[in-house]
Amino acid sequence: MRRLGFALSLLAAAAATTIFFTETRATLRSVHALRQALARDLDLALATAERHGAAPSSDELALASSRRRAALEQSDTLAVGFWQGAHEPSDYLLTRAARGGERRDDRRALLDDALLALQVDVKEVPGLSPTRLGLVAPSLSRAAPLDEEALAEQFTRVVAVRLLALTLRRRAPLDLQSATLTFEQRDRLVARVTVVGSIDQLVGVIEELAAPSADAPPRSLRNFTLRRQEPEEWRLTGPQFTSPPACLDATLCFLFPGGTEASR
Amino acid sequence: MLMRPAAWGIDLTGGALRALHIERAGRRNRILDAIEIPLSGPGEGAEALTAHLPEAAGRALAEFVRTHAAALGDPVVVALPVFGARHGRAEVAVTAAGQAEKLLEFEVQRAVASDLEPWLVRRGPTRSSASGAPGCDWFAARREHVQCVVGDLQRWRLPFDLLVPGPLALARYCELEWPGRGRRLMMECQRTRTDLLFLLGDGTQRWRSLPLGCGALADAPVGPTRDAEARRLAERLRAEWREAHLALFGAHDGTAPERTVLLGEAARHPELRHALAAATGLELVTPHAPRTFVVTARAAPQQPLHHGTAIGLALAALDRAGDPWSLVDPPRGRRLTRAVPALSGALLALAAGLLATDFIAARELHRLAALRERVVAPVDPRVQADWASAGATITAANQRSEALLAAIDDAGRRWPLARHLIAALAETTPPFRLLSCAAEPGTPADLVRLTFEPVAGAVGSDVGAVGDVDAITRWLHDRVGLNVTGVEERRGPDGTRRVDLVAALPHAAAKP
Repeated sequence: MRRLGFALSLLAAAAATTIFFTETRATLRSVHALRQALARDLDLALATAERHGAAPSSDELALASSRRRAALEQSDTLAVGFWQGAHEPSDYLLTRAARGGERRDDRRALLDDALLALQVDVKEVPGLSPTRLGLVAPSLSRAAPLDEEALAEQFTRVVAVRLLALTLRRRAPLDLQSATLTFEQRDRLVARVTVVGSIDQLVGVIEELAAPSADAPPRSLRNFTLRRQEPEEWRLTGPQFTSPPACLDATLCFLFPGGTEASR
Repeated sequence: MLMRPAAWGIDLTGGALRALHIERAGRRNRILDAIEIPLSGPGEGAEALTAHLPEAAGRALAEFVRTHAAALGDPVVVALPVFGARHGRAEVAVTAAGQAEKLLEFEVQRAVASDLEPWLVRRGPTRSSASGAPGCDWFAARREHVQCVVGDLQRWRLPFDLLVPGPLALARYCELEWPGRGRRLMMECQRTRTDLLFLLGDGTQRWRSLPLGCGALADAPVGPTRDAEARRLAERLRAEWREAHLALFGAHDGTAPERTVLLGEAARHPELRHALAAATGLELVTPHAPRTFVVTARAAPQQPLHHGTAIGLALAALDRAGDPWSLVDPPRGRRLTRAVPALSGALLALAAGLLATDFIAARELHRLAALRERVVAPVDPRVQADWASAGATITAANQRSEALLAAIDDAGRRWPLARHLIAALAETTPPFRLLSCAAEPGTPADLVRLTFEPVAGAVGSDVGAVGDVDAITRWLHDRVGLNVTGVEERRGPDGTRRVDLVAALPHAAAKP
């Protein structure tokens, strides 16, 4: 029994020794080399991190995601407040509650309705010509052939003209000497208005044109010039003013949503 | 499991084979097994003084070897019959330590015989006597006798390691079980042999082996015959030990035993114990309870503590220092055989260590490889994309917010100024009235140009009335927040005085 045990032990030792010299030694050498390589890689990784910064950790990613969400929420909140909840020019033809929904399929009908309604307002303001302001003539029989871009431009002009018309009508009598609309950018429509009226009327005009309102996009008063009208300059055929009139020349920029700047 | 050292002590003298298997467990010795096989015939009470062992011992050994072959791998120590052997103590005068050994060697040789060739001599360790003289005990057996015994044991195929004189093994047992208990006579009385061992308490040991025993007493019927035999044997033993004491120690005072310890088969016979006590007049004791031994249930029926020689033999093998009295050296083959388990264990440990090294190295290799893969692996593209996307989105959202805020500021900043300026036209601002104003955006302030003309008939309406211009300037600053930076006076087309003012309206100072 002892000899059998010894033989088995000898066999085990021989096998283990063989394994050691054939495999374990190579493994140990590999371990040694791998440790050295790992040390080099770690040094390299540390140097890289020192130069370019370390890769973000999960906590940093979570923080970045949170900040992104907060930044977007802040930006959206600002945008909603700035554009009164509108996402495109046609939204200003709707009530505040109806804005921001899905893109309407009946936008053409909405434009036609707005153009028709605008005719009534424009007629009450002498000197305000829809055609010269770039609006298409509305037709009850057929719709004007407009592509998407032209449609968006018409909505933009309709909103601006409507604001001008309503303002001038409410502050009548006024002598509108000129009114033009030109696009500075796709989302920026610049209106130049020259109007003569009493000081009180002109104050109201400025207030309504430049102050924030729910049915028009934000406006920026680029510049204005105000000068007294001398008695000899008063038009005899024009409206009669209760006090010596002044001439207001204002440049106003309508900021519509959907452009590149200040929009998503 | 850790193997504990164990050894066999086999005593073939005295008319019986007595074999004890003893294991050393720490400081205690454990008697694992005890075998007693009678060799002498019924009523036989004396031993033949022959060089060879009795033939009956061969048969008993064959039976013993057959039944205990598995345990005979442990060291086996056999008792050498000491008939015809010599022993004594050699002392030299106090001298230099380096020379004492050589002098003792010489003294021992001189004491044994003039011709040492027929003798096998063994020396005990050197120790000084009470007078300080270095000395040693010695033992000499005839070489032929030893060869006969060894030849018998080999012929009967008993594997053995040491051959130790029986009385010296008995002395080892007694010194262990009753150390330093004064002058004692250890009397191991077997069936056909009696060993008398005198222990003086100072390390001095003297012994004599007698070819008579208690065989006749053991086989005698209980009754008067047995009592008579006991008294006869006791008287014989008393006479023998007195003669032996006189021969060994002379008539010196202070060496007479104070107590007798009776061992061997005789200790089992109360008749002999009483007769011996009466004959010698000494206290006589027999071992009843073990002192330094643990007796297993397997060995207890054989009353192993009575077999002092067999116990001493096994103790000799268990002693790490070895036994200097052995007349043979342990066979190399048996030593190697006993080393096989340890060697096997070492080989297994080596194999386990090598395999464990292989396992650990392989696991470490995989761990390091995985670690390196993590170190050198590029950052997950999704993570990079998420990080870049988050950064770009935050930047874009912030830019959009800033643009919106700028637009809000721009849209709400200028129209209050216009309203105020226009409203100012309606107010009376003597001695000037506002003719025109023009505002142009600028950074960091808007530029406002104002033209005033004096009110006709008002005080200070002439050109050069600096105090009135100052009043207008203050009025503009207080009411509208304009800081006038330039003043120019001129005449209008109708010859009236005109004052052109250039004012800067910082963005932050615009008043609603």
